[in-house]
Amino acid sequence: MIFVTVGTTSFNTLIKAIDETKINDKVIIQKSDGSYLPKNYEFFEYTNEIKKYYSEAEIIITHGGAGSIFKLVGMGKKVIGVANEERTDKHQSDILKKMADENYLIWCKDLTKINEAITKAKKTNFKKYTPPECNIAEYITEFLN
Amino acid sequence: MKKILFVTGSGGHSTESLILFEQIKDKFEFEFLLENDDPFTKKQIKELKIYEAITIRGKKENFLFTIFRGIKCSIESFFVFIKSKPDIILSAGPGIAIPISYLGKLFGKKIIFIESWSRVNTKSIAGKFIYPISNQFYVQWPEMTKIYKKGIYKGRLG
Repeated sequence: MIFVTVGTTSFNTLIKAIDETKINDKVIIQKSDGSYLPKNYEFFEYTNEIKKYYSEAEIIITHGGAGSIFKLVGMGKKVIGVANEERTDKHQSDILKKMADENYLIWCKDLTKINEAITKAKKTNFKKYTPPECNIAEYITEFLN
Repeated sequence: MKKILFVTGSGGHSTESLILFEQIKDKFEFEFLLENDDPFTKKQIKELKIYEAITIRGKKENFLFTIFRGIKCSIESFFVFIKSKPDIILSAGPGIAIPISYLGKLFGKKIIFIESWSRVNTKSIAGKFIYPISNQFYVQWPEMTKIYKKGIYKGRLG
């Protein structure tokens, strides 16, 4: 199963592109409050059981929100990331490029090539993400006391 | 106990902010300033004092609207600042953090900013504005210390 998820920010361009692509796997879409309603695949806005969908999915297609990306590649999922340029700036490309360069995921830059990305994701052995040690909290505390 | 006004907003900002908050919540007194269109974050910090101000980010709006929102946000931030009387303004963006950080600076408060973990090679708008007035400015990718000379890299929140 391929799970398409956009978190809390709508991403019509992605949902529409997926819907208009003939994909040979089962596809389930979490679309947030986006206005585009898929015609060809099962979809819902939100769910309280997102973890179930994550664990059942062979591949997860998602936006370039860093929080979602870290979480999914940290779980060892196969991820295809698509930058959401409906947002006001284009910073999702920044993190997607970095994560793709490091072999954590596939960055799909062209939505007409989603099937190529899926085929590639199936064949690729990705690195599992582990965040670096973080001492920000300690440094802030020390600085303020 | 020193009081931190923690400014955060929708998108990824609140995720990273709340991770940090969990790690320091017992060490300081906290109040939050959130964007007024962000029920998701609000739900997660319901037991604390929360102020709201209008979000500055325009979704495909023209520039004049952004200016208008900026002015309105600044006025609202001023009243929040008077009511909250924080010692420290801490934020990880978004734009809503800009006016309150400048107000804090004007009144001699400490300003700490954490550039979003989504920034590997580019500056956020909030980061760009707050960098010159910050007492501490954290980045979450080593590459970013080239872009912000006084940027501090001490790992990533997630």
